[in-house]
Amino acid sequence: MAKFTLNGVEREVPDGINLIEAALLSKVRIPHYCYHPGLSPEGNCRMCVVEIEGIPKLQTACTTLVADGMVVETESEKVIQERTEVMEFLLRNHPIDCPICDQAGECGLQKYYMEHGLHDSRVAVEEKILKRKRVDLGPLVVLDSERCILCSRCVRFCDEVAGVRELVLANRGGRSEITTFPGRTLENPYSGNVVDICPVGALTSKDFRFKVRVWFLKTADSICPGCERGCNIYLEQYQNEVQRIRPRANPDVNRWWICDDGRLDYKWINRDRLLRAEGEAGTHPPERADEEAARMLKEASSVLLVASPRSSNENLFALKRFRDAALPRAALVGGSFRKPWEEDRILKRPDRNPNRKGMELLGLSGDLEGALRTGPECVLVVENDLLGDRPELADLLRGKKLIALASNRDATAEAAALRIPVCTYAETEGSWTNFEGRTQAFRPVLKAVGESRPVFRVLEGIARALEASLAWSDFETLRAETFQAAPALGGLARTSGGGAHAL
Amino acid sequence: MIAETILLKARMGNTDSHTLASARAAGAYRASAKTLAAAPEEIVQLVKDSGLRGRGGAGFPTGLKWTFLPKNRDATYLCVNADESEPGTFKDRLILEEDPHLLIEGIVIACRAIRCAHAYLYIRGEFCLPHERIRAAADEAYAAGLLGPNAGGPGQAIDLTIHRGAGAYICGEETALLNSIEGKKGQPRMKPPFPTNVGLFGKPTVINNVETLANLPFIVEKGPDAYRAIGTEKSPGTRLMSVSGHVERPGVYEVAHGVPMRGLIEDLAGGVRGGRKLKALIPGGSSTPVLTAEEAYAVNVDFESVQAAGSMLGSGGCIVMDETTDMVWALDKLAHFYAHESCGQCTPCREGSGWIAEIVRKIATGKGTRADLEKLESLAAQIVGNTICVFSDALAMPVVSHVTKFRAEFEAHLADRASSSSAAP
Ligand SMILES: Cc1cc2nc3c(=O)[nH]c(=O)nc-3n(C[C@H](O)[C@H](O)[C@H](O)COP(=O)(O)O)c2cc1C
Ligand code: SF4
Ligand code: SF4
Ligand code: FES
Repeated sequence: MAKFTLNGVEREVPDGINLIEAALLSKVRIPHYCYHPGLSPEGNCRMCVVEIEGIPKLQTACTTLVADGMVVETESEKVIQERTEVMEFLLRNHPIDCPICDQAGECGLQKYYMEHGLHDSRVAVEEKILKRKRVDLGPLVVLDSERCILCSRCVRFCDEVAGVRELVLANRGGRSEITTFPGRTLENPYSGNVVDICPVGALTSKDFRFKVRVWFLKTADSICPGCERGCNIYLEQYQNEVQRIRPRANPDVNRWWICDDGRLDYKWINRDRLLRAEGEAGTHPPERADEEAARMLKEASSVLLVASPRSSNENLFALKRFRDAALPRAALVGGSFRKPWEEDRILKRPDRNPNRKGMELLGLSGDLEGALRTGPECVLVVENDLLGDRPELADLLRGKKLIALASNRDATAEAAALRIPVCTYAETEGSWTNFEGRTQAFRPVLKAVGESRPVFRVLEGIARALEASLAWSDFETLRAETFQAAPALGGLARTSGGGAHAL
Repeated sequence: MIAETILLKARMGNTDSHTLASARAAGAYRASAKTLAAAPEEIVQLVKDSGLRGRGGAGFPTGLKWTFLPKNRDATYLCVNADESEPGTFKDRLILEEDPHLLIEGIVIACRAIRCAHAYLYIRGEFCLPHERIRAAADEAYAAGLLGPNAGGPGQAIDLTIHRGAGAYICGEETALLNSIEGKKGQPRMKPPFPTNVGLFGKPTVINNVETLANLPFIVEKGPDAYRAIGTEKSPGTRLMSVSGHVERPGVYEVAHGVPMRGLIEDLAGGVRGGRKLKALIPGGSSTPVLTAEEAYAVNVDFESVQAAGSMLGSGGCIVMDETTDMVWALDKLAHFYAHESCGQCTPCREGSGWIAEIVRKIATGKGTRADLEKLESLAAQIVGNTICVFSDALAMPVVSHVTKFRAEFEAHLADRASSSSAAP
């Protein structure tokens, strides 16, 4: 631990961290552009200057490690003047693009100009250096060179995190520009992160730009459903449709990043949704759907319940309780036929199910194919697109009465005799346990789409129709029961450190 | 009348002075041979005792710099700074062209002193003949065993890799030079860590200027006392002064530190051309503050005297400007050079250098206003002290000194000058 004095107050912080981080621990924010906690410090923007007793020149906080006895001033007159001057330089060639810039509202220049600039411009608009606009860097990212403040975060991200040299700061002085190396494009599987870390509107996402002003977005903390890593994300919606996914910092899981597949893994939430329960005789209101399912299950001589490693722990537990209470003789197995993808050394894990581990810890794994082969008369599939993932299963499923609890019109739902809409993870509370056994909660950002209900509520309804007693007063009760019944889940994981690191 | 004191230029001047045969016949590599018997610490001590100060610009004591290397280290590099790109400075070029073996001998001595087995010489991209000469000299030295696997004694290699730059002034800044050798973009690194701890390829590294190293053979051969007998207390030895501009005989003159600047200009360089009067003089390369004629004639050619006059002896690039010089246009040239050469990393330098150049041009072309002149001064103050390297200071110093010392000329160029102010020159 190091004892240092910050703006007159003595603080104790861990050794070996820089002054930006040390100050943040005491809720003092030091403005900065080029520093990012996930990248090596470069000290080029000069925004983070602070005054340190005994050193005549101002020092950059991002490159100075805290030391015992250090006396640091972050708001002295000298510091404030220097910041204002740096702001003036940064804005000197910056275009007047705010009205048409996607970054407006979450822009580092706007933010710090309001906090530390507010100088009158000494530049005539026609004196600004013109640079390239709308440069296509790769499949996901567009560059506006005029807006770039040359902080080199994007370059360092590619070099240090993605591990590929795709971007470079070319030329010198005022002609400096971000560009891809000749003959290359920005196409590494993590390229979208550069948009998030770009402190200004220079790098924008082709997927998101011009869709909606950021101040209209509603945001929820969530978890990426893409693979068993369980990267922490923000889900952001407008008009009850998910508009974008951004990484949410978690030092223990995904640090500050997500992969591009995860970033784009939301379109299905808005598209091809099952809005109403549908049976062979047409659509059903929810209650009728539950009764219909109950009837099919009761009439069958043998029943197989199929759980999914994409369901939340709570829904999986509810399914177990449903079996015990309503259909004690039914078989219950969990599994997935999703094809794995290629693992990498960064975040991507081979198993593309976010809750494989939770399902296992709840004792629900098993031989899915074998269970199907035993020839159950009725199969209830919960949040599991068996046919979409493995079309050959059609043979095995032929002649069986299929009930699907599904959010989307996937192949399994379409083939089912009865399909009941359920909420996606974007509309409900829940938790997934990642491959390391870390149980992480996600929160709803959308209102339930159509007549979809959380899985556990549908199961309650079917149980009711089967005259079994199964009811949770609210989600929290279900969660508490789940964690109590399966201590191996470990309850919700605590993260070891800082949350989002905006700017 | 002052005369040159010849120490580094001793073998120069005849047509084959750059060859090994000629250099050897005149005594080359005697000093380096002498160091083979010496312990590295002894050589370091010798250099410390000599008081040798770096000729690359800052005048840092060479022996002291060497002692900053960590005691325990698995490798050490020496980087020879032959990037010589500071406007007004062209003395390293003379050594490279006319007596490259003097430099190689200095390199061998330095390598022995700091236990370096592999030296890199970083040479300015535009230096064609100098490159050809040092290349050929290195080949000769290798063939003669003066470089190579046993150059530092049996089984002790001293290798020399010559690396040609691509023509960037900033690559003369020592850490940009390291990046450039490593194949990265030539931009300065943050300090600390200092190169003596984390330098080339992450190893402890000493960076020395060509002329600095060229002093070593004399120091080793004649001893520190003989060296200290030349020059002043604080600036021992001689200095290669590059004299350019409005003089009758521009060139590189070797003078003992401490001689009067007037002597250098008038006796050696033949005086201001055409019998005109001196107006201004830049004493140590383009980044050092300009001196007025009175100031220039009052200083001596040594670190302390020029510093006392508010400037620096720097790299010894002496730019002479006569009474016909338009100081606004003189600054315009410098400002455009710096705007062109800023590496562009640091916000104040990248944006400030271009902005300053624009304003100077505006004033020079008669379109500037009083507000522009004020802006110019405030920008110069704004870029100082908050950057990764001292390039921005190197730009600010000429701006501030030109504007303050020749203010009337700047004001005379203004579009909104008061009618009472004196006419343009
Ligand atoms: C912008 C800039 C350019 C420089 N260019 C040169 C150069 O061309 N040659 C040189 O020897 N030193 C140059 N230097 C100084 C070097 O950084 C370094 O201090 C020097 O090479 C050390 O050698 P010395 O101790 O022998 O003087 C430059 C410094 C700066 C800041
Ligand atoms: S594009 Fe953005 S992240 Fe990259 S250097 Fe420019 S401002 Fe920084
Ligand atoms: S001060 Fe200028 S030249 Fe030096 S590192 Fe910064 S931008 Fe580059
Ligand atoms: S210099 Fe510290 S954040 Fe940019």
